[in-house]
Amino acid sequence: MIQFVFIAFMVLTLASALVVLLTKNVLYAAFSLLGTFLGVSALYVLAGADFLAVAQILVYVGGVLVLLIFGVMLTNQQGNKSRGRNDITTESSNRVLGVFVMLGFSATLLYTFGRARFLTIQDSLFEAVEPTSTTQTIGVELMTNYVLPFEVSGVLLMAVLIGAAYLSTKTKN
Amino acid sequence: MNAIIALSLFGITNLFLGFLNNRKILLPATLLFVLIAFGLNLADWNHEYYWFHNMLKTNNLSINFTSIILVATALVVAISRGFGNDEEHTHPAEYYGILLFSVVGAIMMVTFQSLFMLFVGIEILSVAMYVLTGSDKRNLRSNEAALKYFLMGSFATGIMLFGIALVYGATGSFDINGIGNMVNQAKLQDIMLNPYGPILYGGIILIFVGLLFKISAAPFHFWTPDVYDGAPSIFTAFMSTVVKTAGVAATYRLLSISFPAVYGLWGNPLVYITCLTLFIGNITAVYQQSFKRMLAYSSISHAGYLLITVLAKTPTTNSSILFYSLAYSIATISAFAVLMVVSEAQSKSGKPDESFTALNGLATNNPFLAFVLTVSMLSLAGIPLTAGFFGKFFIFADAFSNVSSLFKTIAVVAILMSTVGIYYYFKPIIAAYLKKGDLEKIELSPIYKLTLIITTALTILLGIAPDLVKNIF
Amino acid sequence: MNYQPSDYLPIIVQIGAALAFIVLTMVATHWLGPKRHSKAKDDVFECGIESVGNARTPISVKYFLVAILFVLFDVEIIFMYPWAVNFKTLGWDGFLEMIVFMSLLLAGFIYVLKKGVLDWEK
Repeated sequence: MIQFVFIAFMVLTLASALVVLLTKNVLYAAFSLLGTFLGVSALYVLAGADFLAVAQILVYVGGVLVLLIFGVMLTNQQGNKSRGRNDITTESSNRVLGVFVMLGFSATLLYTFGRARFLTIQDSLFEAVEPTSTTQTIGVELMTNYVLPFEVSGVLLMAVLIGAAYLSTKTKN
Repeated sequence: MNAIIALSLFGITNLFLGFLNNRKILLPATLLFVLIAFGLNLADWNHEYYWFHNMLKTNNLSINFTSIILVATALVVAISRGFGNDEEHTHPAEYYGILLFSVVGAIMMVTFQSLFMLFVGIEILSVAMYVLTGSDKRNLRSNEAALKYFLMGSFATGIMLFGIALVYGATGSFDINGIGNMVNQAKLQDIMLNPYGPILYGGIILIFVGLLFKISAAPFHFWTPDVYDGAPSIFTAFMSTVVKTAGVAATYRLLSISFPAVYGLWGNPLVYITCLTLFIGNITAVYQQSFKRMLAYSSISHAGYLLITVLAKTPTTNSSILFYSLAYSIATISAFAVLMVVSEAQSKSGKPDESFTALNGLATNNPFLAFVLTVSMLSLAGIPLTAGFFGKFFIFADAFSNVSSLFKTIAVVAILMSTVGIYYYFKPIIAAYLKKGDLEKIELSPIYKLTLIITTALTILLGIAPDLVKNIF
Repeated sequence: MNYQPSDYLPIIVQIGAALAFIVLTMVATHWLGPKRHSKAKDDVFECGIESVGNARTPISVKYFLVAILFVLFDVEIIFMYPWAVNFKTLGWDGFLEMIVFMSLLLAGFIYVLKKGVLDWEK
């Protein structure tokens, strides 16, 4: 049963990611990103990372996606008025370089994971491994061993806050 | 470590000082903050501390790097002139505040013990730099530079984060010493027999790519000229000194502590990367018409020189990197200081003129500025009696002291390329002294003049007696 | 505290129900409702006044800033969630650490407020 769920979410993730990649319409891309985020968070649940799944939904689906759609609404699409679509128009698309980067990156990853010999800690791939809730462990670790990164990410968030406020306020011309 | 806490608080203080509506106090206040941080940093001298469950480690090496970063920051702040009197369009409180935050990130990059801190440090530094690059909101090129920097930078950070995740998956540790031990063990086994080998290697490569992007080594340098050119000059000066020093220090720290056992994996590509960086940086700089863009390419080439000694990993590598970073930082800051005042005096229709021709005839009415420019250019080119000469000398000595014949080749390439460098570093000097121009006398504020005197004097002093600081490092 | 992926089944059921409701109502209204086309009926707003201008005018950047602030504080909530789960275990130390974290972000927020960035009328 669980392998069908896994495969279904994998297909959802990949298919909506492909839509993001291939569609010319910004709004469609933003909405199909929703499918990718949801699928990834479901995969997190299946992998036993429940906290990550919650974070994924809360931050990405709840926040980043809204930001993206606001971004689409913000941009001026006067250029495409004749066609009446939210098309992405790119003037220079250096596909050759992009393909090279993609091939290099994929080759590295394929080599890495293809050659790696993962230790088998369970007999069947889809057998449940008694996943435990990670939230408690993460909470304790975050407040004890990793307290400095935690506090420092407060500094990071504040810098982002101030930078965003500075850059997005209007200057009178 | 205390410097990190202090600077975070000072950054916030700076933001709120902006509400006093008194632009005059911001510059001295920021200078004072940086100096306090400098003092706090030196307080740990000769001690080795691990902070907060092995997140950071301070020792003399990291204190030295932090000191160079803070000195460069102080000099950049000193030549910022409070960002002028344009009430409407410049916001010094924000600029200084974000600058201090970015220094927090830079210090974390040179003191990290856990890859967590490396990542957060790089993020803080980068986010601050994205904002500062785009701080001139009316300038289209500044906006373009910020967007390019942001897109490329976040992509590189993403790749590096992926690498960190793979390394963690293979070694089960974020601690750089712990990773080093695991890599040593992995090295003992055949790669095919070691279950984690390929993942570890893939992770190292990805981290490596992310870090090389941050120090703008070729072929990951494409963002550098546009970003350095588009950003306001004062922040370009900051980027090419503080950000570069922190990036090289982080790369060196990670490679020398965690991955010396797999030297072949990152060493062999790094040989080509170093040669390519030197080649592209120097050859492209020859063709530039803009002084600022030339300095951007020269910063690429200096990353190449710094990588030589990272590669050579001799016992003197520590002090060579430190000396070179210091020499390069002070020379670059004085070059940018001259560029800033001259380009503003030569503005055409409100836009500062940053080409070489803007420097024409600088020596007739502004002999002091011309002298400062000459000394900084000579130092960057590596002419004797300047700090830059000894910086290059120590690095080439490192390369030649390594037994491998490969290093002789690299050193020869580097020496050839630094002779190319002499050609383009002399262009501004020739423009300043030999060409005719009608540049009026430029009035300098006392603190600006003092900063230029300090950087020039330091460049010459270190060129005559390098042992003064070499013994400390 | 163990959990099984199947514990998350209710979430899928809820998402499915929500999607099904939307799809069903959309299909049903198209299917059930009568269709009479005329110029007035096909207008964007059927209220007698002719619509003027482009519907795709860019919105104000202020909305974007609100969205950014929302994402930032969303991330903060994510940090608070595992802390809240272990509130009793972590005790006063954890509380103080969270206060430090919160005050950093709060300082930024107060700055933004004082700066008048969120002033809507300006």
